[in-house]
Amino acid sequence: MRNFENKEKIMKASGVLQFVCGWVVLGAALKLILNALWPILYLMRHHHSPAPSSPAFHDTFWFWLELPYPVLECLAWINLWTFFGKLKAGFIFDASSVSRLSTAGKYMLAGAVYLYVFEFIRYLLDIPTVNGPVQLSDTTETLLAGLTTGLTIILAAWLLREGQTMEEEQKLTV
Amino acid sequence: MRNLENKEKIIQVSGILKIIAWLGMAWNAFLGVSAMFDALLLPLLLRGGVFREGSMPNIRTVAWTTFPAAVIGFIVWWNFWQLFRRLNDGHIFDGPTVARLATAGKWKLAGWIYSLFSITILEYLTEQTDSHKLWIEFVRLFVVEISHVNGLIGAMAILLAAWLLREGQTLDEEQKLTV
Repeated sequence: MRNFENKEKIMKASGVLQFVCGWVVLGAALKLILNALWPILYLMRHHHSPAPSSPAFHDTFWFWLELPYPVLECLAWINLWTFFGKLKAGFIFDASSVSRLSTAGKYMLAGAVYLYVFEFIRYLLDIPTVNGPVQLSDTTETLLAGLTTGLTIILAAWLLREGQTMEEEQKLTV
Repeated sequence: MRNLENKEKIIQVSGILKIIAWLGMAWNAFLGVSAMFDALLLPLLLRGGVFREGSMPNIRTVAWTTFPAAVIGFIVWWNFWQLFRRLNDGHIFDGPTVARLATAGKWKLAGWIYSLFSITILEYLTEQTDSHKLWIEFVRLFVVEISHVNGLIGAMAILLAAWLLREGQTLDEEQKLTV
């Protein structure tokens, strides 16, 4: 009879990671809502549309332009949350679990690339962020971290897909 | 005939990640060597100048706490490098491959536990409340530090990936027995 100890460990650890992912999803969603609403709230408070040359116009414009990044980040974490949920339920080498992980990796890669392009344009145009001028070294570090994480997640998804193929083959044999 | 496209993709990406792991190893080796330089050679070169001051922590304390972290970091990346090397060679659901990933996860966990203590000690020594250096302050700093769970989550994710690979390894072995 097969030893299910390993599967039990996977299910327990997935439960913890799903809980953590849940909180990250909440945080990312909150950040997304704030990013989307901030310019509107700003305009409502000042009761007028800012002139295109004013700093307020620039802030509003760049805030909205940054919006795809939190969207991608949020989508990646939602996919990870669902993935851990499926692992917790015992669906390890399952097509939907694998696709969830793969999608999360792709969103993470897309987010890292988008953020880098966005920050690079800001750097070229010399447009400061809320925390001061754009530091290209910090942005490159974020890009490398995002690329490594995204690639690792995609690799893990391919490994799971390999396991899924084996499981399907085994079922066919039995 | 089985589709080997997925395996090819794994091999290709592993090649890229192997280079990143090598860079991680090199970075930690550099950190370790520079920490040793700060701890042993710099005091001799500067003839104790900045080290005689009463305020703690000095460069030497920072260096002695950085060195073990760099060693642990190096071991984690070395295990990753070995893992990606094996994946790049096509050994996917293989005993040693799984063991490498599990070992990397365990060392990452050890690194997190070590960082809890080292950062707490450094912050405790840095605090300017000389007369109020009580054990309760140490505990407070420790509790603050324990709330930084990124390292723990990372280690757990790596261990989970190792367990998933072990599950795949069991399947692979069963399949070989069936054939």
